[in-house]
Amino acid sequence: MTDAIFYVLAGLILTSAMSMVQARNLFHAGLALITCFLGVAGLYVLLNAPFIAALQVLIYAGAIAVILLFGFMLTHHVMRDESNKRFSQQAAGMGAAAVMCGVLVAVIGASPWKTGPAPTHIDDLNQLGQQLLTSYLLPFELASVFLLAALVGAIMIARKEEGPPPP
Amino acid sequence: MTPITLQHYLILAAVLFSIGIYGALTRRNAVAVLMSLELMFNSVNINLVAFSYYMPDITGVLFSIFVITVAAAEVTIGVAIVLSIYRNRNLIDLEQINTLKG
Repeated sequence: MTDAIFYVLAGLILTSAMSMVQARNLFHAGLALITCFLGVAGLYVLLNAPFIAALQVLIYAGAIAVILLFGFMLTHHVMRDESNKRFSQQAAGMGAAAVMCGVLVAVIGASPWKTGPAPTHIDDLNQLGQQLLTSYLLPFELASVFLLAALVGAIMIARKEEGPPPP
Repeated sequence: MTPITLQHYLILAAVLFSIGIYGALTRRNAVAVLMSLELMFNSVNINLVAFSYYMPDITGVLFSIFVITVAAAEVTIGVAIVLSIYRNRNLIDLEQINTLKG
């Protein structure tokens, strides 16, 4: 049963990712991207990590996809449709991606993966919170400062400049 | 049908990463390149959570939380830069944004 769900989700993720990189219309690409994110969220549920699945739906399928669609809609009359490169470049990109994929799959197949005892419930929220506020306290606080810097930076970069800057 | 192991997840993530690379290399629209970058972030997260599940250790899940944080900041800054270039030069075609090219 779990196996069947995995294969269905994998098919959904890969087909929507392919249609995302191939779509002529970028709005369709954005919709395919959201489908792909939701499929990945299903994969996290399958991996017993419901908290990460919720984060995936909220942040990726919610915030990030919406920001990308905003970016597309604010700029779409410059490049309406033709968003792929010439055929030779496309073939080169396809070749590079295929080589990358082949090498990765070969390495994954050849490596002896040491898996632990029977998988249990890993996404224990108590444990997660304790780890975040003890061993990972510094990265946790740095992440908040980082997000603040990104917020201020994004506003500063995207702001419309009016007149010359004050001396 | 063999049972699902760690390798299945790793191969799925590798294929997804390659699709993201293909998109990032062949798209000309800057927003589309950002979308492909998000695909790559997702494949990395699949890897981290799968490792966390198969060798029971919560560290992978913690790392994926940090990766999601960085991805959110990255896409915000990326779209802000794209909007800024669009406002100043009225183009978002990456082949024409070559002012920094020597």
